[in-house]
Amino acid sequence: MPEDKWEPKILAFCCNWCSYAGADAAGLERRQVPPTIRVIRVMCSGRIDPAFVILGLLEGADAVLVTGCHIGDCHYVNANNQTRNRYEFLKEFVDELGLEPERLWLRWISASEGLLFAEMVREVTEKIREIGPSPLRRDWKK
Amino acid sequence: MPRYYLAWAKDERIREKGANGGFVTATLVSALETGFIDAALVVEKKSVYEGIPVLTSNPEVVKECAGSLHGAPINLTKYVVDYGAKKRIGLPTKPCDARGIIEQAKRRQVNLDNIVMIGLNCGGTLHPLRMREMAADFFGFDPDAVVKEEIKEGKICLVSKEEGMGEKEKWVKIDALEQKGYGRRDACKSCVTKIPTSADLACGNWGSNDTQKTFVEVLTEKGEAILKNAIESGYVEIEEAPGEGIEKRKQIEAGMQRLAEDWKERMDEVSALSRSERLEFYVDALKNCIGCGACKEVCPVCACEAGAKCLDMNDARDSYVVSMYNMLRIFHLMDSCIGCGECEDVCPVDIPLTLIHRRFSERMQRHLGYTPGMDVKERPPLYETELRWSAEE
Amino acid sequence: MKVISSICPGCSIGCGLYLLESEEGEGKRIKILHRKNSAVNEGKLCEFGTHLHVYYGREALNNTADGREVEQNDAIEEAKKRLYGMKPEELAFIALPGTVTNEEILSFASLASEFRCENISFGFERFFREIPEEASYIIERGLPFSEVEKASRIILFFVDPFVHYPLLARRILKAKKKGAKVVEVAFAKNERGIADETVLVEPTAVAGIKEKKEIFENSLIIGELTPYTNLQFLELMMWLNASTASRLFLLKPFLNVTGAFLFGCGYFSKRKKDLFEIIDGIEREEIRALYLLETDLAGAMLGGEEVTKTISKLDLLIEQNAYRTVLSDTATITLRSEPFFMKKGTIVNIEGRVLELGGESEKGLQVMENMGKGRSYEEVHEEVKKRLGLPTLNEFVIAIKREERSFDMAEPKIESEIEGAEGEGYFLWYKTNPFFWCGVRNKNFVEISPAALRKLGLFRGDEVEIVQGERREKMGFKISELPPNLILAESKLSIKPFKGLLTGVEMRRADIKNKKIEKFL
Ligand SMILES: Cc1cc2nc3c(=O)[nH]c(=O)nc-3n(C[C@H](O)[C@H](O)[C@H](O)COP(=O)(O)OP(=O)(O)OC[C@H]3O[C@@H](n4cnc5c(N)ncnc54)[C@H](O)[C@@H]3O)c2cc1C
Ligand code: SF4
Ligand code: FES
Repeated sequence: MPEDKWEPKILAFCCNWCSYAGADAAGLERRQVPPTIRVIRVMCSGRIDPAFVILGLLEGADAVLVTGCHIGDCHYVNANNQTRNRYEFLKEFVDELGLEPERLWLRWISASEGLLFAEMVREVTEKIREIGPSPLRRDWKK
Repeated sequence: MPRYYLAWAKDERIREKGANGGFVTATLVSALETGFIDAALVVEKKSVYEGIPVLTSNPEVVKECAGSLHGAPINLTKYVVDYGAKKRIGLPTKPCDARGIIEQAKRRQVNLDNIVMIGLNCGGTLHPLRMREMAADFFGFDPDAVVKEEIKEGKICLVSKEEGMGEKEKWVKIDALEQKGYGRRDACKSCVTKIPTSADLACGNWGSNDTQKTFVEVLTEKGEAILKNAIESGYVEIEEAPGEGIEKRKQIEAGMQRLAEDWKERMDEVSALSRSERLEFYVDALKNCIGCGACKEVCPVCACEAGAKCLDMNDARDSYVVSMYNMLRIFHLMDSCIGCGECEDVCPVDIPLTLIHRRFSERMQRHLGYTPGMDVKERPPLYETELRWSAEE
Repeated sequence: MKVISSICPGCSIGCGLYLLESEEGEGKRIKILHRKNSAVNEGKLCEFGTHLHVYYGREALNNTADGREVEQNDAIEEAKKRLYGMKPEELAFIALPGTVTNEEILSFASLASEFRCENISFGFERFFREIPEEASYIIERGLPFSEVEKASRIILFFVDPFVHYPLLARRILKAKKKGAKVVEVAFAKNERGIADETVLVEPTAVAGIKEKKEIFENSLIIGELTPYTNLQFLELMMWLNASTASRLFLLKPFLNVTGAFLFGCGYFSKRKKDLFEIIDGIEREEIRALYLLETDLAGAMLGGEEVTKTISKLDLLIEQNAYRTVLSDTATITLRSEPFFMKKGTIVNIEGRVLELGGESEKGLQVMENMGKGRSYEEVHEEVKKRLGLPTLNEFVIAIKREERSFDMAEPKIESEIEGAEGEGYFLWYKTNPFFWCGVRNKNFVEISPAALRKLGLFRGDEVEIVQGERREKMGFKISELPPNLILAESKLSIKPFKGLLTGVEMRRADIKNKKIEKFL
């Protein structure tokens, strides 16, 4: 893709029970979700190994979203507490590495929050448009 | 019973050979002879510049190994993991040895019940080859002729013995050396754990008014037991440490810690950089990595084997700007790095790993209010289900 | 538990290390420890060094005669008898000096002369025949790394230090820190960006570099010499060196190569047969008996299968080694020696340091001595020291120094046509490294250009097939910033190079149904 046509690529990890259903709801409700997002469904946000997030960033994602059920609503008792713990690590990591903090997001979205999902994607997309492509992305010369 | 003593080996030969009274050696010897431990892990002197860890149940070998080697920057943790698993072993531990062993215990690689850690205070170690250069450039000695080395009160002493010339002794201030880029390893210069409070005993010369008496702090019941064993079997004598000694030791420790904080700031070339320059610095430094895996191999807190995530998720075919290996190692050490600098010592392309890991781990550990290697009951926070700080929320 | 002070046999640098041998349950276990007081490497090791336990964990060779296991002495007697049964010109002796000590080289050379055999090769003989005598020091001697660190201008001549000689890289980085300018002359830019300036050379137009001679002025040229080095390429390096104010430092792949030059195959041996000529001689059935010392010939050489086929023509193959090799099964007599780390003896590294091995065994040497002169280790060792002119050994001293001499060199003609480069026209460039020479494949992929990726329509997880006539090889790929038609390989493939380590090949997308994902090391 030529440089002037750059569009953010946003990687979102969604938990099967809440945020993925939320993304679904956004579709059913015919809300406009920017096409910048690429969703990976996991059974629970607790399955999102920080290594996946790092891998996403190295692959050149302009932002990575970690999403799951609201605290207390996790279908595997409390696995999303762990998600929150790991996010704290990731936040510090991304910041120290020298990436903009806006390249990493944590959001809790329930199955009924289609609107919230759509808004989140819009917000992230706008932010990323502002700060530009990820410096970790590798563009190969022709 | 007060917790501070001055202690020394009864055996004059051990006292002579020991660094400050041979207490550590005598204690290990007595523990071996009375069956308190099955084996001791001590550092055998090959030369002033070289020491090799040896595991032995022979008290004579332990006696041979008395004395401190400041030019042998080895971390004993992985040796304990490797062959101390089934035996009860006793060993001298610098603060970074003790901290590494505690971290391995947290990861169930060693059983602390089987290990007695006779802690050594530590002002720092020197890289053997830098020490050789120092001997030539600063002392004017033939490095091969140096027969003895000692550190006391901020000064380093070398004794050289050249053929037909007799012995020459010279003292130089460590600070003067370090201003010129010689002296202790970077990791040691910036280390704030000077007294191994996570060991069973902490021994050193700080606070001792006699060159042949070791200042000993008893830290655990196990420490008390091994000390008692050494006294009762007639290897060691003790007296109560004088109050001003205890005070002086505290002061020196605090002074050393201030100095370390200073060094940290001075050696941190990254802090002045902007966010994007920081990324550039890390990418530039880490792109030299040749993927040898040595840094992980020697890392005293890493307990992963061949199936480790940093190896498994790393594919040599990827062309990322930084390898997954490096990213995951940094990430996984954020809560657990003890800053020993072993990784940088063995890195074939001289990546400033000590600085890099410190930059990441220090801010995380501060954020977590967690210091690795101090308390075996604390789990590494990355393993935790609950946020450590959720109580405060 | 035993700690042995040892030296890595991965390349001619000779990194110091400790080997910790412990007996545990099922047997011996080896662990590599870093020897920080080693003058050569400060305890640092490359991937090969850190994985030495794999190298030393290979299956041991047994003593056999005609396929039956026998006592070693019987095997030696048998070997001796059969060697005496041959005419001197039907015999050949080969030792690639990777894991042989100076003492062994000396003993090996004297064994060959005992049988009045002139066909003895350590892998480098042919070069000496073609170059002026005054220039031979460049092949025979390396340089201390301190000279690299001190250099103000370094030319990397088709050498990627991070891959070829990893422990050299930090010396160059240090020189850079001190202000040195690093220029690389290569087919592709170094991906780690070690060079300040890159002079790209087309694989078909290497000779073009002659026009840019001035960039070599006042510099230290670092290149590589292997048994595969194209003679014209060596002459080119030497000519560039001779016609500018520069020094030439040639790295070599085998640990004790300097020792081999001193005791076995230096300039003085110029008339002897070369490795490739010996193999040709075997092919033509002029040579009928071969003694291999610590050499995995088929594993070390490119096109190993053909070598194996040629070797099978021999009437007598004697293999002395610590480990089984590709050829062991076809050997008439096998003689078991000790793994390198157990050996007693000395080696000379590329810097010219005489280094002592920390082992205690003299077995390998004694095998040869029992067949020949029957000297003790001490006698041979004394002779080594005497010939080196060293009463005592010190690893911190550069004992074998080199003196720069000026010499005349005719401008070499470079034939640049490369066989098989028609058609799709890719060039395969082997980047040699310690794994390359011991038959261990540590990487199952080649590096290709983004242009090739697009052209072949490759996706992640795909494989490529590299074709050279009848030979083909399927493997993974990695994208690197390379010229469109270049392929880099760090592992040995079945593809044989045509000139030096470069060859023309074709490449296409491979069919990969039911692909198995393999992990190496
Ligand atoms: C590198 C180093 C720095 C030190 N710095 C200080 C300091 O600044 N202030 C202070 O009060 N005390 C310091 N000490 C401790 C002090 O030198 C004595 O070790 C201590 O007082 C015990 O004396 P001793 O006579 O009882 O020990 P000894 O009976 O002499 O026994 C010392 C033991 O330490 C082992 N040892 C030697 N070198 C090492 C090494 N590099 N790593 C691990 N173990 C080793 C020996 O094998 C021996 O078993 C340091 C020790 C070391 C090793
Ligand atoms: S030691 Fe250095 S080169 Fe080796 S894996 Fe670690 S960072 Fe990479
Ligand atoms: S199931 Fe949704 S976060 Fe656990």
